[in-house]
Amino acid sequence: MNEKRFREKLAGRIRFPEDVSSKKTLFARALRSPYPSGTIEKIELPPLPEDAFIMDYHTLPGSKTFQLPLGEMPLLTESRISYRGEPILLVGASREEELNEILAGISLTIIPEPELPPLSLDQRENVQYERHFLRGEAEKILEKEDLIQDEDFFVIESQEPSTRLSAQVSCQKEGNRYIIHSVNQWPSQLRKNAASALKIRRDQIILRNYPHDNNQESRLWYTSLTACHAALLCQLSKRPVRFLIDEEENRLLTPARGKTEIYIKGALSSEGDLLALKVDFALDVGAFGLMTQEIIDRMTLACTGVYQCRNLEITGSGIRTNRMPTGFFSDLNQAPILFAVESFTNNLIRLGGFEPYEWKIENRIRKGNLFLGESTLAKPTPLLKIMENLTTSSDFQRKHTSYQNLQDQRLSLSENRESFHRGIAMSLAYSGNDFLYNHTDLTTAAVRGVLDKEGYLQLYLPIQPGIDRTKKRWAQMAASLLSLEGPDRVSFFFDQEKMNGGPLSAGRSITHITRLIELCCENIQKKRFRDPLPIDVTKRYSRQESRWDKDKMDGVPFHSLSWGGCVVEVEIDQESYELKMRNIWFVLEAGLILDEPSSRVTVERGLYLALENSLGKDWQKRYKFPSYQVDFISTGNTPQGLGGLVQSLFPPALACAINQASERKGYTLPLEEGLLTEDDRQ
Amino acid sequence: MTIHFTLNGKETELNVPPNKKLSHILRDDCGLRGVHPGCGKGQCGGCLVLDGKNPVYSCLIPAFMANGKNITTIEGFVQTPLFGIIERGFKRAGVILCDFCAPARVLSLGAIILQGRNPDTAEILDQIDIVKCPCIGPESLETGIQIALEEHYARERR
Ligand code: FES
Ligand code: FES
Repeated sequence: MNEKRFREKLAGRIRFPEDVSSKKTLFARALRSPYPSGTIEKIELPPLPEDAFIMDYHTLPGSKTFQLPLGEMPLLTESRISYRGEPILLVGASREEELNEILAGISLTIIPEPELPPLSLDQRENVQYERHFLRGEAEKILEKEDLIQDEDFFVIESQEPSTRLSAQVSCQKEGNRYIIHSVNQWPSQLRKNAASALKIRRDQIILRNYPHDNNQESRLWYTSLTACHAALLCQLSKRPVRFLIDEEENRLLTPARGKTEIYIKGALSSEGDLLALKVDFALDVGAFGLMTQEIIDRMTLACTGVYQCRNLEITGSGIRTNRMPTGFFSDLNQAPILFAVESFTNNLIRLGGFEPYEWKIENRIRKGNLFLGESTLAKPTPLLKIMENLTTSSDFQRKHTSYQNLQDQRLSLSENRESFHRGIAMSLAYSGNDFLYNHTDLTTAAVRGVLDKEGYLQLYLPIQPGIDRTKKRWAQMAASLLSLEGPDRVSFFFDQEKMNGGPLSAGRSITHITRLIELCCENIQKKRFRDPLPIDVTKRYSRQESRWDKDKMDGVPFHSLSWGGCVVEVEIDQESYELKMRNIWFVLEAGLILDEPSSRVTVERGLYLALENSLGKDWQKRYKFPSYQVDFISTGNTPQGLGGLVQSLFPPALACAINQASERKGYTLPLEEGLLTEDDRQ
Repeated sequence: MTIHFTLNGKETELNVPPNKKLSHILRDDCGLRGVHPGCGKGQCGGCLVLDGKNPVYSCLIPAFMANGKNITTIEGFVQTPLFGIIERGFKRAGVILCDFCAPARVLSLGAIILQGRNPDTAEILDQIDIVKCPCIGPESLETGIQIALEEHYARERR
């Protein structure tokens, strides 16, 4: 980050959507449903001041739905309530107090109705989407093989941290254009929806995007919906609108993941081969089931794991409920699956009497193996290197053997003389970058490069990276590819209008843009010797459908993969049953790290979320933030998303380390309290 | 009601509803946009200002209680040499904060220095907790604070 911006930020001089105001500002809010399910019977409005404005479903001027590539929901509900907090009316007034009075004076009659049944694996009602994947003969093998185990896992609902910044939105009209001030990671989607809601052209919607915070990645559509609301009232009132969001609404507009239930059955041969796995899972996808196919298919792919296994049978379903519409969690929803699959595999190999490190080295997936559905892995994986690095830094093998011996002694002596027990465990995972579904709104990105007569390069990008150092690296890269005098010959322009890009989620953006800049420069370089300057080149990314057959789950689903491993070492005090996380080690391979400090922050934030998911919301009251180490190993020269690797890696490693120290298995996330107390679970 | 208080070193007189929160007074009536109220309930710390040398949540202070106080917001704090020390500390530690909570972080650390404390790690962690940030761990912040404290006390000794 450049010095000036850093100072401005610390000095509180950065402006936000909520700072946009004038004397004519209309304060606005949505009236939301207090019930998760029901039908609106009557809405009675109090006498309204002259300068107040109301909009409901029937007075929406244009489209009544908010569209996403995989699903839609109403902009305002007509009469059916699908989740608590669903917007019913938009209200605007000249003063905040007046607005609150109007809202308090509205009498809303809703006939509450029973909610849709809660998630369970056996409940087949309200299935939004189901994916069945079969490879080999899992069922047959699971009837007869040597070591067969089955276990149920539960991951309860969790939510990303909510910061207020991301929910703020204001809108003003300038000429015939609407200027929306917001923090948004998917401008093309916002503009498309706002334009159709207001029944105007898309180029009449301009987004002033504010620098996003650390939590923006998962807010796929949340801010766009509020932005449409603000723009609608701005159009109606012909006044600038500041849309107010209180703390509860802010929470509502923060991505949350529904509950997941996972059942796994697996067979291990006496030689230690993982012969077959059967995984059934169900995820609560909330109201309207937005993005369900993408999420369930990704989770299905995650079930196939990082170990060789020929026979697989996976059934995944997304179940609609009256929870708020789901988003795209920053771990890309892999964490619940990886928690279950890694924990299960660790338990299985332990029962089979195999040493985990050696087993993982032997059985890790490699080039040429079946991977992700029916495809074979075309490139070598960095898993071996990751494991070697991890074991060197954490002394994993020695510690694991010695803790295992101690545990075996404890079990055979059934007497406990130590004052604390220790455990250590390792987990491995990958994360696919980019979206699985090849919808142009999700996957496009474009970069334009213009090399002028004076030897200066202008790059037009669809997004503005949060970190200046990323830009610096891009400038260096472009300068060296074109042999320019220096990186200061490269300047950047952010043009969301022309360089329409997809969302940031799924670790796609920086990866794609880096690659597109590279392609632009290579192309300019080629033309340079033929064509006169200026040379103007635009490169677009859109994935070729043919590489991934989503019905058969065959081919290359992801643009690139990131890999990682984690070791967690714990100690449990035998008197207080207090858990201490002695140390945590991560080794991550996410291609070229453009900016190490910010990658570290991404890891730290991932760990923060992982701790919350593993130990419960109030973990900070009981535990200190543990010390951890991160090692980035970079093999490629393109950056790849760190995605939610950390969130996926940490929980199973923690659960299995606790298992070694306490002889108790964790089957739920957050890990159940009973795991560490005296009352016996098993 | 009319309230009198010192704001960033200047005597200030304002006419405001007695229950209007200081956080909103600072933003709406004084134009101090570096105050970033979030929860309005003393939970997030976004609205942090200094009352004398103490960090306080301005969303919990109604106008009538603000009367007579000596309030410093980030806009005032920036004018003091301590700001530069903190900026350098954060910079050297590679602290990456979001734009929203950064000023409150600076003020909460500024309070430690103003109070003349030289806290140990546990106390620093407590101080970090005054501004609730859900997105980063305390590691780099703690280092940043240590660096700033070192610089400050080294200067004092000189
Ligand atoms: S707004 Fe004051 S603490 Fe959150
Ligand atoms: S809320 Fe600002 S960095 Fe976390």
